[in-house]
Amino acid sequence: MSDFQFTEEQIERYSRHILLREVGGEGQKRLMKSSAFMVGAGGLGAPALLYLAAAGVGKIGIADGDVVEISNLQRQVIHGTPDIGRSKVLSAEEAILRINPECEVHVFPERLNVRNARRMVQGYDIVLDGSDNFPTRFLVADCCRFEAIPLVSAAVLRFEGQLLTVLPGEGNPCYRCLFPEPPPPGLVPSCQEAGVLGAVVGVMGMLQTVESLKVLLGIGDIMSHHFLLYDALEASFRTVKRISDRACPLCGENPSITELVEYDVTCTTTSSETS
Amino acid sequence: MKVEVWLFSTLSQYLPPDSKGKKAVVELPENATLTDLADHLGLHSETVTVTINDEQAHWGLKLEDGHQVSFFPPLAGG
Repeated sequence: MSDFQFTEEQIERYSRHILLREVGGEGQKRLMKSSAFMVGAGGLGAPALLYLAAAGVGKIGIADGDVVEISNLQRQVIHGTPDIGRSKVLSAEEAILRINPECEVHVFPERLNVRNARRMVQGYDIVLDGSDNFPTRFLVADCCRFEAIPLVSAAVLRFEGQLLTVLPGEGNPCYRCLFPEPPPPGLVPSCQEAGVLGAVVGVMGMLQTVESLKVLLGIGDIMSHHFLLYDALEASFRTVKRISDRACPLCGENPSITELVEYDVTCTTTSSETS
Repeated sequence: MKVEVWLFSTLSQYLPPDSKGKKAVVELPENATLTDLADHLGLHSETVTVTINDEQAHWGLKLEDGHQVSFFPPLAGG
C-alpha cells in the first residue's frame, strides 16, 4: 500500500482520517487508490458524491441522463440554482472538483441499460445505487452480481429509507434474495408521485456513503447480511437479518437470470432517472 | 394466537381499520402460516418481503403466538 508518499497538503487535508486508528495513513492511501461508481446524481448521489470526493476516493464515475430541474433543488444539494438546465453529471463533476481537485471524475450523461451497464461499472471497486426507478435498480443489482462488484443500495420514499450492501461471492445474499422481482405497477409510487422529505434522502445518502467507505477501507461490520429501514416520522432505525434464498432467480441453485434484464420503465414507475 | 404485524411504507394501507402507526395485533387460528396472515390482511404480492422477529422468512413458515411479523416493499426513490 505504501507505494506513494503523501504531500504535506494531503496530510493536512486528510488529517482527521489519518488520526483514526481504523483508517490511518494506510487506509487513506487505500481510499486514494480506490474507485466508486455512483448511479444517479440526484438526492442520494448529491451527498454521496460530495463526501466520497471529500474523503479522497481517487476515482469517481457518475451516470445520470437528466438535467437539473428546479424541483430537484429541495434535496439534490450538489446542484444549485445556476445549474438549472445543465447536465447533472457535469454539475456534479464541477462540485466534486471544487471540493477535491485531485479526484479523477468520469461522467456518463446517460441512463444505464442492458447494453452499457456492465461496460460502465467495470473496473470500479464499488457501486452506489442512487437511481429512482425499479428497472435501473434491478439492472444495477444484476450487473454488480455479474461483475462481482460490491453494491451499496439506498432508496427512499416520503419519510422512509432503506439500505443494504451486497458483496460478491457465494454465501452473500444478493439484492434479489430480498426483492426477487420489481413490484407490480401501482404498489410503490416514485418520489415524483408520492413526495419525499429532502433531508431523509440526505440521511440515506450519507449512510450509503459511510457503508461504501467501510467496504473500501475493509473496516467494521458491513451490512451484507442485514437490511436497514429508517423511519423519520417515528425517529427509528430497524435492522433485519437477510438470508441467501436458494430459490433466488439470480444467485439461487437454479438461477433463471443469466444475463441483464431490461424492464420497461413505464411498467413500474413514471419517474425519471433520479427523483 | 396473536401476532404483531408491522406494515412498512405503502403497505400500511393493508393495516386493519383503527390501527395506529404501522402496527397492529392480529388474531389467527393455530398453525396459521405467513401466507394465511397475508391473506387475512388482503396482501397479495410475491414481491413483498417478510420477516419474523427481524429475520427474513419464507412464506410457508408457520407462525407462533407472539411473533413479530414485518412486511415491506422495495423502494426505488433516489
